[in-house]
Amino acid sequence: MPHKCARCGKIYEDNAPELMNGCTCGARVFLFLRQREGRTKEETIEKLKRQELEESDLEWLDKRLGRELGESDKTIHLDVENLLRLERGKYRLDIASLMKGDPLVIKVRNGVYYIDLPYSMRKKKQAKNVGTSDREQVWEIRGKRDI
Amino acid sequence: MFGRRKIIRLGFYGPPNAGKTTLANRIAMDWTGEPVGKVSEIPHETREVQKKERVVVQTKGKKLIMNLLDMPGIATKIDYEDFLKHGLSIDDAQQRAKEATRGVIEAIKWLENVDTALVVMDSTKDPYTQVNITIIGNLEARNIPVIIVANKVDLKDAKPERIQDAFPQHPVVKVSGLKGKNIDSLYEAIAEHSR
Repeated sequence: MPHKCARCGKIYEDNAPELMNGCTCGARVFLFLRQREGRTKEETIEKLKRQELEESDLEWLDKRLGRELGESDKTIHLDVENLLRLERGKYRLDIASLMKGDPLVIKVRNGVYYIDLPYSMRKKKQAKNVGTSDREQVWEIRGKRDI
Repeated sequence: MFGRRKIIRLGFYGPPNAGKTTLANRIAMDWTGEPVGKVSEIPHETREVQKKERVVVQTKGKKLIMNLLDMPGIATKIDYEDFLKHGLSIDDAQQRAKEATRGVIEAIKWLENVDTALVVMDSTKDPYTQVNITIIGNLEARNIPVIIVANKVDLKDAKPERIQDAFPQHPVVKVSGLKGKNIDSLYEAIAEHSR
């Protein structure tokens, strides 16, 4: 039965070494995919790969946000997420939500989210540590984190 | 009980390319001889919070001690294609977009460590933008004193009065960070409105 990487969506067959060692993208969480009746394993994998290519992230975004995406300066109100990665190098931010102090929720593509759980804790720590050196330290920790 | 805090943590907020770093550099150069950060015509040059600490400014008999916190520009959309026009390679532009996005989030997080906010706007541009309104609305909600800087008044198309009309509830100081015009008024505003 195939397995799908929860982060990048890459499909792996049973017993693939990546299932033990982690996906090429670095993630270690895989979704187990049920095989449809009457379909061979290879057919299922092929079908899933095709689906991956056909599903455009921008399509559902366009449907949901319509004209708002085209207007560069407009603040957008997203759903549960406050940072959308449209594609490599293209991002939309829900400034109002971020400023309100909502936890950072990044939507990478339809159905895949990253939630910055330690964010709230770090925020409290930072508020307490108003001294210069502590602030620098917090910034350094944050600076290393990737989007 | 412990007296007033002596050091003002001054945050430079605003959209990209409003002249935040140029203004911060002007203040830092005048009083410390060292700049805060690099400036560029390509938007999102400042992608990390830049700091210059203990900048001591003398203005009309008052002494201001400030930590200058120059923030990355706040935007709702970051698109690497905007950087391609400036001659960046696709890889460099995409990397810049990623860093700029991270910079926006960092700038917002730093709101908690700011005593007074300078909201820097380009006087040649329409101030009624959602970014400006959202930043100012949030600073008001947090009770952080706001001083609006109508920057780039040296340019021919500058209309700083539009900024004054847009945000009448806050002091607006008309300056040119690049030419160093009217910076003394800014110090006075900081001395008057900071907490």
